[in-house]
Amino acid sequence: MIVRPAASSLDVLTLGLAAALTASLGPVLLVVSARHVRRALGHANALAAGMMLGIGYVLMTAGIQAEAVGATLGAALGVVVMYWVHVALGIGDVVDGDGKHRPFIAATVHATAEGIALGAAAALGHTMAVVVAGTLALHNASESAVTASQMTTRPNAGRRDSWLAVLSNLPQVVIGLLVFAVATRWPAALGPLLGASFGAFIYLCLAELLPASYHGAGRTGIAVGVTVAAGIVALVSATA
Amino acid sequence: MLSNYPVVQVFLYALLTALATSLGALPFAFIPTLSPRLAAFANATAAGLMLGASFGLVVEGTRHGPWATLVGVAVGVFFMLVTQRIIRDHGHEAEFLGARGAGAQRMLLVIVIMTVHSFAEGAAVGVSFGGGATLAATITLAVAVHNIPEGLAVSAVMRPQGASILSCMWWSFLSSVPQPLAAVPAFIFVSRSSGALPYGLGFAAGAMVFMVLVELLPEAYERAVARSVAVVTSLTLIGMLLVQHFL
Repeated sequence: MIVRPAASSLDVLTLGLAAALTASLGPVLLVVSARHVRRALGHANALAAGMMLGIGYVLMTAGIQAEAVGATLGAALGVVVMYWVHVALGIGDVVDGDGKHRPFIAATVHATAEGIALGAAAALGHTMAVVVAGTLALHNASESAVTASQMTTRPNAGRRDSWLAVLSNLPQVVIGLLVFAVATRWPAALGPLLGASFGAFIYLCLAELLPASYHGAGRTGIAVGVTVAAGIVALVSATA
Repeated sequence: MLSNYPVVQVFLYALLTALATSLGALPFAFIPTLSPRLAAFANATAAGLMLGASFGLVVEGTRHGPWATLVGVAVGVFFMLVTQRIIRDHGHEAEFLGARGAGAQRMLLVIVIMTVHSFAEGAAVGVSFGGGATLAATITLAVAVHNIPEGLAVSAVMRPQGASILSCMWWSFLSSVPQPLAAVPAFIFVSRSSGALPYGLGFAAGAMVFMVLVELLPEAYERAVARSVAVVTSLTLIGMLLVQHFL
């Protein structure tokens, strides 16, 4: 597969920053939908999971075309690394009061995986970078609403939560730039990097977003939300 | 000799792929009882296999038409919503192979989905015969091997409900019976079938993803730690992608 770095590092920087900044909308959405917060968060998680699966599908398809074995090994590595990070940081464990910052840590881990996806997508071309960044932006808004709900019990904490949400998504920009540089300098790395982002996304959806969805909303609504979100993202990417 | 009777040849090849599905039940002959944790991992494995199969179906469908595939996915989800509603309305009465209520519903849903999506695979086998013997053999082999984990997925849901190995093999086979039935008309109307193929492939994918999200994953999360379920499902999915690629 021919790598077409039509996107530039500046594109990755601006798109990554824009996607990170939309995370600040999450806590605002949380305030708006406070009356039905539990259900709204369940659906927000489902939409975030669907969008993540949709991007993952697109990236893995491109990865298989670039280098099938490398992409598959990269995907397996992405899963294993994310699992190891979860175990090492205790994400997903039952915690007492000292665990209130774990959602922030988890969001930062998410942003790392999203950075790999953004950088690898940008190496595929400018259009793909825009599609992935746009999806990540929507995803970040949903995700940060959930993160904010887990981190605060105080009213009027929206501004602080918004800044924390943006902060937790900044690794996405840094990792995105790094991965873009690697993928354009060594095109052979593109397949494994696309696979790694797919593996990380799938694992994060299954380990965090979907279980959290089931706590907040009904199974059928989640299934429809995830499928529709993933289908739309995959279609937009395929026709872009 | 069979080449003189292409319709019979298509039917027998597709019947072989259906028989391969029953092989998926065999591993359960060595696992007599499933603990809750093992049942969760069986559900997680089935979820990974079905997600991997759906991935392959969507990839193939989008080659023929992305919009048609998405429409197929939407119809598949809608079909499952209606099926779920019908089965749920009679859920308190549901009894299947000795299981009652939710367990019986789950088994029925899995078998219905597998049966419906077998039509698309049968059509694929039939269409492939229009492209020559080599293509037909390759696609038949691919579908046959792909059917084994599908039989595993059916059995992974049925076995924890107390179904016997023979029942698992039988229902796995039955879920793929539409393949020979669909392969013959698909072969005969090969040019027309190619237009309907993305809809069928999308339909199958949508129905399977719905099943995973509504039944398999929630069940798995209830019985095991989410990250363990996630790692099993993810790695199974990736393994399925690798198998599909090399076939």
